[in-house]
Amino acid sequence: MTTIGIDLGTTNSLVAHWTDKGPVIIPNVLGKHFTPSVVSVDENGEILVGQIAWERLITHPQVTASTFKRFMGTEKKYNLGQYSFSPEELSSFVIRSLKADAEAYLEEPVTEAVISVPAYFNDTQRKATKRAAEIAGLKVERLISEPTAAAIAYGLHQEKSETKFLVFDLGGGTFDVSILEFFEGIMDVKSIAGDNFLGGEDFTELLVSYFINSYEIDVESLDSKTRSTIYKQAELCKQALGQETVGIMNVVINGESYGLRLDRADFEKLAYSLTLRMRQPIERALRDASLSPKDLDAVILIGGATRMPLIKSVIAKMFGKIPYTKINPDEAVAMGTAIQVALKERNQALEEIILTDVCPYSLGTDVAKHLGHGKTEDGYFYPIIERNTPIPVSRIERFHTMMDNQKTIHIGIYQGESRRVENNIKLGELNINVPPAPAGAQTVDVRYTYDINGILEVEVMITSTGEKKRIIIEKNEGSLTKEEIEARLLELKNIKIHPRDRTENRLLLARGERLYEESLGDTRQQIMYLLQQFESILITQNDQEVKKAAKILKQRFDRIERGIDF
Amino acid sequence: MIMIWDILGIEPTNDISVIKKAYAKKLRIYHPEDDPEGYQKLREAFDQALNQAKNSQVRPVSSEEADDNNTTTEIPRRVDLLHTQDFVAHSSHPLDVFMQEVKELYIDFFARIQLENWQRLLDSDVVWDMEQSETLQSRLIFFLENHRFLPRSIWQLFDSLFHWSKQKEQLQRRYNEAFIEYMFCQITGTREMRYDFFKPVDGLDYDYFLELREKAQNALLKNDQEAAKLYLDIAYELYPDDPDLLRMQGELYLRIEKIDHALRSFNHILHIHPADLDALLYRARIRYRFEQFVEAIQDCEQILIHSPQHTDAQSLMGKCYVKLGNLDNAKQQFSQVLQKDLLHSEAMSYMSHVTNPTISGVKRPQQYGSIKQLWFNLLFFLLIFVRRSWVYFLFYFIVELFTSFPFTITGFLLIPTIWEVWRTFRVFIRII
Ligand SMILES: Nc1ncnc2c1ncn2[C@@H]1O[C@H](COP(=O)(O)OP(=O)(O)O)[C@@H](O)[C@H]1O
Ligand SMILES: [Mg+2]
Repeated sequence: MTTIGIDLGTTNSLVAHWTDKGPVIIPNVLGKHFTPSVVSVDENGEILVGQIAWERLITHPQVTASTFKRFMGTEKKYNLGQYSFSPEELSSFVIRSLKADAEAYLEEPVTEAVISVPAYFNDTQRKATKRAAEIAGLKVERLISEPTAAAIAYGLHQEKSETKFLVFDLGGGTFDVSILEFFEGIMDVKSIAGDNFLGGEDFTELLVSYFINSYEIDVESLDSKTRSTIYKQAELCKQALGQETVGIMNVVINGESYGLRLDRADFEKLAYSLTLRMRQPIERALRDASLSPKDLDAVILIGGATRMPLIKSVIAKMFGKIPYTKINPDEAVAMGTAIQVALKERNQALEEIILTDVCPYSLGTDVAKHLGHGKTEDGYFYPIIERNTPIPVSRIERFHTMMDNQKTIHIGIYQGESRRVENNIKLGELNINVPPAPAGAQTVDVRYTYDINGILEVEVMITSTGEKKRIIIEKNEGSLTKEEIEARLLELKNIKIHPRDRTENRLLLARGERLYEESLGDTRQQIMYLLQQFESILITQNDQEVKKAAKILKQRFDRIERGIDF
Repeated sequence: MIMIWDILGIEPTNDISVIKKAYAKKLRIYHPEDDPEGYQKLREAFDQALNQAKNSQVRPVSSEEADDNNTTTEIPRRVDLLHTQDFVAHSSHPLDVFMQEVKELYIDFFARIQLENWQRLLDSDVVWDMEQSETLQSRLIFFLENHRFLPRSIWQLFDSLFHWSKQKEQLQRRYNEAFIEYMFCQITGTREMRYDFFKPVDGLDYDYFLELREKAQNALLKNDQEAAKLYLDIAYELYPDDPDLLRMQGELYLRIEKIDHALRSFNHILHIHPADLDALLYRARIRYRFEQFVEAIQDCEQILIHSPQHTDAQSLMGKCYVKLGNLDNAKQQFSQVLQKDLLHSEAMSYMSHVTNPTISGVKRPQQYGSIKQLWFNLLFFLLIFVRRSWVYFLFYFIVELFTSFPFTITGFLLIPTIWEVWRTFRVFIRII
């Protein structure tokens, strides 16, 4: 019985395991530490996962899906060729691929996993994550929240005295800030805040639009492949700017070659408005936790996008501290999951850690307000459980009738932070009949109970009669019967996954096809020639030869991609 | 109060570490996963105990903070300009230095209206220091309350940095509610006035001018014509070349039916800023009134060059063509307006005029009789009919669905719709 730790990310996923020397990231079949969370279907109806699928985002956008974690736990369907998948099914393919990598590396079957989820995931999303693992054939005993995993990776749970720290997670498409306190074996989440639409991809987009604007390219006239090529170059440029002081982009459009150079200062100027957007979640998290930055013992950076030097300097400016980056920011969470595996198995130390959590948003109801002169206005939001309240929690508020002989009291159930309900999310509603009486004479007690799994229960009681009504807000998990689920599982099992041992060659071919589309003239001829040669060697099935050819081909492609052969 | 110590199982204390230890011990009994109610009680006791302990250790309200607010709020506006030398920094605290720079920038009118200057200033390290953030923002808001004349772009810069508009409610609780509302208007630009047309004038008190301009705007909003006139006149004496002031002047003249004066104001704006869309539209309308249709069309064309989606201008142009007897052109304009804005009422009503020869007195051109045109008209009138009578239908169906009156009674409800059918049909017949 072997257990692994999985960081199932929006952009990239990682798998790690525990060794005597500590947590170790397991490389995938391509030798890379992370596997892009992308799934694609090929011409034969086989499922491709990871880097190959990522390459196909450019060449086969219709049959390729990415960032599906955003929709985890929803009914959204992705139509990929002949199949239609839910976000959790797509995630299960990623997990299957990670599991296969781990089994190949550990040389034994893997049966269990600890998986990390964002701190703000609610019960539906957490259950969907667990199911994704089950579909992939892994039992999940424990989910761990991403900031907690990062904190464990930094060993903050071993500190003698108490520590308070802020986890700053800038991933591909999401930005999460969490403030945690560890004391006496308790990991207390004090507050969480974030921006669901801010991430590393936005920085790439900046470079894309900068490129397009500086050449006044008409985006509408570009085909989707050229657009993706520009995107790819922007991504490379962004990453290069982390190591070097200048970055370059090279793209061929309609036979013309366009190049662009920019240095770190240019990039920082471009990114100014994005950096501004990071302020508010941080200020909000601090305010909700009633902490000032000087109370923090550490700031931990996780998420690939925090590799950008500008993030570190912004953090240093904000907190007057150098953030922790000892562990690779995109590996910290996976490391933490592996440590959690060890702690769980040995049943010591960390098993004692009790995690206390908070409710990520305010929950309340709509009320009408007297405006004087006998006028009333409805649609005001009245929070019953305030954002970042420790959970589980149960709160009661009393409301009264507004009109003489009012027949029913209506309780709308909302989630959000706006003063007006129309700007918040409606979760459900309850109507309860009250006996006739003058305005204000009848009252109801409204109880909101938010449990540890993020399930909200609302109960209304008429105080004069004791009559009660109850509703449980829990998004339904689809209306499938048990048999239907089993049938679906079988169906998924029967879908062919591309054989793992051929992944590398497959990737080379996919990459070659992409390069072919991106380049022109002589280079194009050359790529075509290389691909044909390689395919003819593949047919011989001579492993030795294939390996040698693959190596050469990879080098050639690297050179082409870096623009050397252009 | 004694309860909380019972729950925690310790004697009352201000020692935070004792409280935390006790909580940790009890937490193993009242585990959040196993005993939600027990946990909530424990947690509330714990939070209360912590608060008490913290409060007993906290100093009274810091005198430094109280000071900050006073010094910044009490400076009257006009004194600012006269006593600049008083603002020598007393302290080298980064916040004081920053506020000093803010004041200096604000005092220099032409520097203050440049976005780049504020960008540079707000890039100071102290602005990014989260430790200072709250105090800095409150000092800045207090300062702005008394120094509020800034272009919209600068308010937006503040907003992108501090996200004030997202916290309107909290801010209104903490600061002057009316000012926060004002700030919000500036950020969203609902009552934007421009700063790009000022020229250096010796001895001009710009802030006084801006205050008058704003007062005039308020007076006009309340339609207090006397007050508006007063403010506008004084402001005009001070500085006559501000397009926003002139626009308000023109608007006031229009309200009191001094059309010639209004025209002069709008001409003055267009002299300063030839592409001023509001002024162009006003002038076009005046010219239409004066039956100078060709000139009005020219103004409308100007507007459409700068803003092709401007349906009001295009509709006015159509009206001019009607007056000129050029129905083809008029129809073309109106149909374009309706393409951009299906519910443009002026264009809609004129459309029927244009297609109706008895009103225009011009003979209907040949192609009007075509089948396609007929279909178009049919559809058009169907649309009008539905728009006029959907409420009756709705009402009828509701009555049918939820009550059991016989048709002889509910049928009466259909009478208004029949009436509408007849009215629409009459107009339709006249056109055909
Ligand atoms: N060296 C780098 N420099 C800048 N950005 C990087 C670098 N490496 C990865 N990223 C960015 O990190 C993001 C992915 O971060 P990751 O933590 O893997 O995401 P997620 O948590 O969403 O799965 C991508 O947007 C990628 O562009
Ligand atoms: Mg992540």
